[in-house]
Amino acid sequence: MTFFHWFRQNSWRHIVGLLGTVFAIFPLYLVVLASFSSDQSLQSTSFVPSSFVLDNFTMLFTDPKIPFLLWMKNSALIAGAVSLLSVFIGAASAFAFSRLRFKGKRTGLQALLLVQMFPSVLALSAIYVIMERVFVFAPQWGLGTLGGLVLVYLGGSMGVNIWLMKGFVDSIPLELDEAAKVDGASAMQTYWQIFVPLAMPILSVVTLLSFIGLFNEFILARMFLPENESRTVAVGLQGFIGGQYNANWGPFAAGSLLASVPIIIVFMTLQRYIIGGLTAGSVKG
Amino acid sequence: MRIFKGNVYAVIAKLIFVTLAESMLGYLMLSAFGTGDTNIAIFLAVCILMIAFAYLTNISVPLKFFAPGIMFLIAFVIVPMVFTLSMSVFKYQTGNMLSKEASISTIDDQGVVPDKNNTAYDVVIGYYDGKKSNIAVLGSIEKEVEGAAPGVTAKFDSVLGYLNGDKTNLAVLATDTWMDSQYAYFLATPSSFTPLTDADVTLEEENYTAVSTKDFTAFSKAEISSMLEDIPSLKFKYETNYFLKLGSPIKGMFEGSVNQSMTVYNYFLATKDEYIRVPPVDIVKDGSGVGIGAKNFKKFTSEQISKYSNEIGNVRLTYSKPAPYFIGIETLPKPGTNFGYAIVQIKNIQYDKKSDTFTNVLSGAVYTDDGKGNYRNAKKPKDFLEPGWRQGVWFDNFTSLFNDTRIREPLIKVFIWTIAFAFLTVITQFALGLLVAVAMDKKIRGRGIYRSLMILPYAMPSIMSILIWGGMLDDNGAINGILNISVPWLHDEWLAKVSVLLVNLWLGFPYFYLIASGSLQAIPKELAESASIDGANPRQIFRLITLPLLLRMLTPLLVASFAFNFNNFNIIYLLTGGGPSFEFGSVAGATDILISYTYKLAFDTTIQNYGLASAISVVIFIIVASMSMYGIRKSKVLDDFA
Repeated sequence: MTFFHWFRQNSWRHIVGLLGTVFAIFPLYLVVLASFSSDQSLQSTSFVPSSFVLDNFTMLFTDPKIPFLLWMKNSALIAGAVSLLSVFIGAASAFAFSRLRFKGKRTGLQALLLVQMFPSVLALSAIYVIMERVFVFAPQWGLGTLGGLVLVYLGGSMGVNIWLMKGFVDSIPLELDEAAKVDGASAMQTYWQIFVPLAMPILSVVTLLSFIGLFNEFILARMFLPENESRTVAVGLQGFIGGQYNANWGPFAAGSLLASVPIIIVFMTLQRYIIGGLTAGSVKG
Repeated sequence: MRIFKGNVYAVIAKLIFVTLAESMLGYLMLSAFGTGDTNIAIFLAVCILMIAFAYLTNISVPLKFFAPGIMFLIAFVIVPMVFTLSMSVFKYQTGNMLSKEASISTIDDQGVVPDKNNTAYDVVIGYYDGKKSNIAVLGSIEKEVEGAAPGVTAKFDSVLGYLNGDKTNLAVLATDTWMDSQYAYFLATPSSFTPLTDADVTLEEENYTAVSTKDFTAFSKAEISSMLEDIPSLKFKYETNYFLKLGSPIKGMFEGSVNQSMTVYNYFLATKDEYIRVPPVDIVKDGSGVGIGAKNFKKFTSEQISKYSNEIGNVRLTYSKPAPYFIGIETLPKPGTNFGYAIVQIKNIQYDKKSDTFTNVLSGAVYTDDGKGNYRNAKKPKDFLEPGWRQGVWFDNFTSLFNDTRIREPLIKVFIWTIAFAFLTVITQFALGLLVAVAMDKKIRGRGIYRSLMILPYAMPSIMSILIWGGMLDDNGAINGILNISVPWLHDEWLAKVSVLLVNLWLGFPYFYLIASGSLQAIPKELAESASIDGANPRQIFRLITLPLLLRMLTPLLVASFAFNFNNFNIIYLLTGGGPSFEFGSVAGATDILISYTYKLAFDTTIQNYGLASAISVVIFIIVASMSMYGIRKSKVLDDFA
């Protein structure tokens, strides 16, 4: 085997792999660098760390003006509650769309798709007005509360989750349902006793994707939760660098790192399942 | 054989769930009714009925599955969407946010100006007749009065003349005979008083009366007789609070007498219903005569003032002139002082319900509904009343997208860039993803490591990575720092576009890498092998067999990705904010896509234009929906439904 031949065979693959890897990780490397640096900017002039301090991390946990743990808790609570509930609610609809026969099924699916196409960012003011009113008669569910944001997110995640899960349900063989039907099962019984146990792994993946998507939500969360203590981690961290002249990249980088690592770990562990979900038509935001 | 039977526990669980949900919704519904949010209450009532209908009867099985989803979808997606879309046929912008009724009452409240003379009083704020709600003020109107000074009998022989040859510069030279043979002299003008000595004056021989002095010229008899009418009103300065007046002339000499000038006060009480002149005897006065208390009038304490400050600030008290004049309290007393500040105001803008017009009672201008959300002066089209209201304007917002150059030109640029951005994003992400997938489509050493590292950008929460890229590409950021250059990555029109595409490539190529490598494995190896036997080289195999197959499999995903990036708000808004602006002060910028531009129009500028933003969102909606429908048709997702 000549060198040329070997090169044609393999080394170009390594070159692509190396370049791709460098491109992929150098911003992440800089984040790690910045989070351990005493410098408050992203202006490192070399790839070699000049200092190694934990100030940025201690700041996140000790500064009373930076309730980082609360932010993390809020994000986890909101994203957790919404992803679980929306899959719980959405799975039933997905099942019905996939298995039941009823009038207006096609129209319903098309309508659902159409609704999803609406740029939801623009409905912000309407949502704001509605939740402002809700706050008047139900202060625990209105504007500025975690509960209210959960409700709004639930509505928003319904469409995409139903579509996603419908794809999965379609792939579960019909024979099982039919057997259950012959054995006298109602639609509800088929759903709870046949479908849900079978689809559990898939439902978990959708929950996870939904969780990651919600963790990334920014605009609605920023508008909805103006209080420092009730912010989500994305909004809270953005506050460090939001101002033009007071960019605190150190704590921002440290916070991003802490917030991202759990998600990255989960993603990496479950990537095989997640990729299955991706091909079913979801695009992560 | 029936294996599935009704389960008692399932039924009980269902009943508990339904009861809980119903009672919670019921409670919320009642609260909503209580606060007057009827629309929300009705929606909740419908939800309650729907749940009962779905779970307590067997009429519709599908509804059992759909009910909760439908409720959330309607409340938080469909209603806001319909509201937003319907705003596209309204003039709905800063200055035109209210309903017409609210607009009328605001104009009515605000249509108040001070009277022509800016009449103002220091007033004591209190209440009348013992009722704290009957807010009243006690005002003291200062008035200068003059008259013979009691106890002063001095009279001076005076000569009327003028100073320095200027006949308007009046002066009096007076002689004060205060003992038989002792004389004093002074020169008085309206504003000055100068004592003189014997040496300064020329005397009349017989009776020692001064007749002239330096710079002073006496008026001639003819001049005096022409001035006779004015002389009684002339005042010359004497001591403080006293002045000199001249009597009738005798042989060219006047008798000057000392008069007094003093400040007296008239007092009034103004309540909501009446304006009362109060005689001085009924007034409690402070040292200088200003009224601080009156019969039936009780001063508010400082605590009461702060407690009622809202009412006090808005109260309209009766003035001596009838409406539209009234007295309004402008400032409350400072701590430790008694006096607030009240000014006389006029309700100049009056609403007439019958003709639906506003009239300015001072200028006579009439403002009529212009059909575009404002009351406008028909004679002067630029003169209109603020605020306006949301007015249905049919398709004005849509036509302005095409007709108004200030809207059309940035919109066309933004539209072109939106298409280019979405298209180039998909192409670059797909190309790089595919390249990596093909490169990794062989078990080379270290493939697992390459793979794990390259999908990191995809695993990281995108919100964090976009912000980090923003910091790196900043003028003082890491990219410029490490390369030791200063390139305005985010502040030059074309570089900013490149930066956005680059960051989006970073975010998205792992997705296509994962997708493409999955699809590559799904392509039967036999195809490549048989082509290879037929003499095709690897490049030909890729170009003629693998790529077409891949494209066919991935077209729906490419279309979906295009649609997603068409509305990829986060990357634009968080990386460049749409900037740099086309020109100073313009809302749209070089990297704005339709959705970020629309968002800024609606929320981020000083003149927020929801109507226009809604019209653009309708356009976006139609574009994206038709694209997606096309993609779905192609991928035949909807075909297997009966």
